[in-house]
Amino acid sequence: MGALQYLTFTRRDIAFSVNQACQFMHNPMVSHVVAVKRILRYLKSTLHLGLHFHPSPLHLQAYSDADWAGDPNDRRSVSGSLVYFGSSPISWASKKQHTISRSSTEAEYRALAITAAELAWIRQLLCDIHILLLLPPLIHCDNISAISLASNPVFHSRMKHLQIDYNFVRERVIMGDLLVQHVSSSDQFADILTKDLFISLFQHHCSNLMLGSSQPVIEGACKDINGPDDAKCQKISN
Amino acid sequence: MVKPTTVRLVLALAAHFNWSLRQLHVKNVFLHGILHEEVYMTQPPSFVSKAHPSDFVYWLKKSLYGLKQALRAWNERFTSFLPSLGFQASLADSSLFVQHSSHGTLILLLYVDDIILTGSHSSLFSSVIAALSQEFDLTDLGPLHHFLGLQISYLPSGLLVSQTSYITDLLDRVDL
Repeated sequence: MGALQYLTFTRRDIAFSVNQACQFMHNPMVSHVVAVKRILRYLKSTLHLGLHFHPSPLHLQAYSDADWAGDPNDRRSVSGSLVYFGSSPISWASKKQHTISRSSTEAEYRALAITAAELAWIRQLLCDIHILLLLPPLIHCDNISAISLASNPVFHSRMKHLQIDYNFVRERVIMGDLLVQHVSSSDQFADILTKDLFISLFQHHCSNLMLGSSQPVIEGACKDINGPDDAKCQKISN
Repeated sequence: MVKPTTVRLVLALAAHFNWSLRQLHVKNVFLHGILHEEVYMTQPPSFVSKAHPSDFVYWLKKSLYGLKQALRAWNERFTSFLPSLGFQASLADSSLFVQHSSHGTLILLLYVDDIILTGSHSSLFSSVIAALSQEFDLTDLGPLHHFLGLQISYLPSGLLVSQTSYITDLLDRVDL
């Protein structure tokens, strides 16, 4: 399992599946072993996929997404974040949130805060290398209420317990350190990190991951296997 | 410990500016560390002192493999040496070192005994490599190809980072 986790170094497409499977490590059942075998079979057919970096305008962009109460066992939400430097994806995470969210806005907002923190860290890193960004980093989020919360001082009683995350993101937005923009769910690249997707969407996102292949022929084989890969995620969560 | 994001960021920068990547390897890395704590060791076979064959132990000045201080001692030795070459440790990631000069920028990534060098001028590399190999026992592995189980291939359009051989090894282990 640790070996699979290390593979997410370049393979973002399996980040969610691996994260899901890892949660059952303390007491694995037959269905989980089957799921892991499926990940391995998927890997076997997509052996040559890797990350592709090429020159592009230097700009930090992030996608933040959450799958609200996506886990049927404990109803915690999964947050996914994805950071692009130019066209190169450099950071991603698929992580189950620590607390249970009562609304999708809350889950999305927590994901936003995690992404904002990651962006702040990457900016510091770039600052150390003396690379200055012309534009503030941009976060794409597909939840309109979370976005308006980030730029509006409206504070509902329902959001009170979100205060720390709330103030953290808002402060950055006010300082101009961060822009938050709406993106439609179909263009939400971080979707692949938060839930199991249908084949067509999985393939669509795979192409956005800048996963290049050293052997173009192999990519054809990738498509056949995506189906079972989705089915695998279903199996784990049930 | 170097963070994966840092490695990817440095590779993305190298691809963007078309910087060359160089890999160095430090031999017997843990023998370089200097110990600050008192560590004693019984005389190992074939290293028994003639004057005091028994009832005496060695007092270690430098670290050895297997000591729990080894990793820290090495890291301390290396990070305290780098500023003398004009490198500064990054605040965000302590295994990233940057050297700024009028000639350009040089970036050094350290992962235990593996070092990646990249920067705006490959002519800057040689002086750093010379200075490092004077201080440590160093192998210059040339252009970066393998690092932490990653394979780096150079394409006309940029860099491709893959873990193909890592997956193959993993599949072999589980007989798939």
